Amino acid sequence: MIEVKQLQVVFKNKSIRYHDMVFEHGKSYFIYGDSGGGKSTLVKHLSLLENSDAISYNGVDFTKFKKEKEKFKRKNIGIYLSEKMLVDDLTVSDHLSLVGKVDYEKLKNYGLLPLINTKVKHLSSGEKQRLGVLIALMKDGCYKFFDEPTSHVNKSLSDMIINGILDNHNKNKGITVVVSHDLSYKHLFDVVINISDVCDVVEEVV
Amino acid sequence: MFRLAWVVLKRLKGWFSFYVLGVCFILLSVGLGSMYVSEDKYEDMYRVTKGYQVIIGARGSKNDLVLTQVFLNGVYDKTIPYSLYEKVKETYKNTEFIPLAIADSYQGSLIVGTDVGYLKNIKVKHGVLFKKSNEVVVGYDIAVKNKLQVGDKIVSSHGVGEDDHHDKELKIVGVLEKTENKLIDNYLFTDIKTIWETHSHEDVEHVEGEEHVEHTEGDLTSILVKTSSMKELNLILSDFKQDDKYMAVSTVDVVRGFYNILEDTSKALVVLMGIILFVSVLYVGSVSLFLASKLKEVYRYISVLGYSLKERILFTVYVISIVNVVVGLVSFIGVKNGSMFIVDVLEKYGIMVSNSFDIVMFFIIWGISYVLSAILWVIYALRCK
Repeated sequence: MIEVKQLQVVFKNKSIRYHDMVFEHGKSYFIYGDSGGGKSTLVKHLSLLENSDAISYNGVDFTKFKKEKEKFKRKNIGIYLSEKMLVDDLTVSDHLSLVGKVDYEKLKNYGLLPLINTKVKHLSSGEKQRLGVLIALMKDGCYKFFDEPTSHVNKSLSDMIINGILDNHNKNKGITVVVSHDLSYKHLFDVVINISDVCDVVEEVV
Repeated sequence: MFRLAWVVLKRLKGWFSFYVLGVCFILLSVGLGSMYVSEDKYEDMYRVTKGYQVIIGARGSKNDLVLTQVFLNGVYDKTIPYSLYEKVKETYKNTEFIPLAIADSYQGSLIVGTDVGYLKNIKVKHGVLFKKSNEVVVGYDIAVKNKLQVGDKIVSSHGVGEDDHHDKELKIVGVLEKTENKLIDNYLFTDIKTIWETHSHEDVEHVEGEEHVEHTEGDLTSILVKTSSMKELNLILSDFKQDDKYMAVSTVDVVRGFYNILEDTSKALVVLMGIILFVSVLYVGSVSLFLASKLKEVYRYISVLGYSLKERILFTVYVISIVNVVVGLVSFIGVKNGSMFIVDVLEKYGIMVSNSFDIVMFFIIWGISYVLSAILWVIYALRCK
């Protein structure tokens, strides 16, 4: 269970105050909403990429346990933020080898097998996106977060990616959060959240 | 983490090569800076010239005459008649004249034909000074190097090349004490007649390309002049000023000229070092900025994967360590050979420089550069979001 309590994020020109909410084990979440509405910020906090005492995992606030947080993150959390999380000069194989044993079958399914020794900078946006999602799925653990995993791929690849994410969720029975603008998938998820319903954005005059 | 460091270095080898090159240039410029034009050698020169204020020789290059006859460096290819020596001796009564005939060699070292006056302040370690032709005394270093002893016979080479081309058998009658003057320690000394006798044979064949001075009996290459009378010294200089065939050269003036070159060389080296250092620092800075952006991508990726800050620092330290090992090796070879090359080139033009390349100093500089770069990169790794 992930609990969000009094989470407030301040930017230069605005602040976002999230309502208290709970993400439960065994459920998949679909978050949609306007750009700049706070979807990606929420995912970064949920996935512990940002430090905040407003997030707790099963009652544990990791800001007080930094070492444990690192271990927990490494072991349990898989994240896809955007293709920008990849390293341009490393190859597909380099990226995957840092996660674990390379699953060639999955690589083939994602159309990345012929590109295994290609540097990321030579991949298309769609290929990068597939690689990023694959990396998040390859990670052990039951907490998975995907921010716009299908924005650069066609419908059939989008279907494959979303199905892959949900298959993985059904296997590990953890918490899966997908942020997307493509509402055609929302019916596949247990919980659908419109971001504007769970947070207030306050524009500040600088 | 080491594997990741290695993979990142492999994938970014082009940029890391640029970085290595830049740091090597910084080390090279520091190395160049530590290479200073040797004042010691010039002090040696003054010490030698102190004995002989003036040198008389055939008209030609003053520098060449002093370099070849006073510092025994190379060959002066013009000669003067022995009668000139007798004439100056007769004319300037308060002045000492030493005849020199340098034309032969042994194992690449010059055999100096002179009289015992040339060696009067030098102690003989074993044996005695030469008294007649075909007798030779050897400098300390050359005796040790060739295991020469009193009573040994050596065969001189006609000319001053290193190829053996045997002409005349000489008997060693003395070995000199080690002196502070490397010129004395590395040469052989014989009676002037020995040189004349060697060169009187018409049928002698010369090695092709070997520098050789043709002598007839009675030829000298120069006359060294030593006097306590300033009046006679000035008289000698002015008397020879108008002479078409011969010249009298003040050795101090020539050495002062060398000193001016020395100062210019020092300044040039400092400027050169400064330019290389400035350009290298700018260059390393630019390449570092690029590498920083690349490492930032890696940090972001491993952070998403859940790698800890400790692992990030470890990765950085591995990268910097591997890079610095390469920097150390490349710059060691570069600075060592580069400085030797520069010394060789400068000395070829008569500019004596001291190569103060010191392995301990090099590793201290390298170590400082390694630690500094590691600290900077680790700080970057810590601050990088």
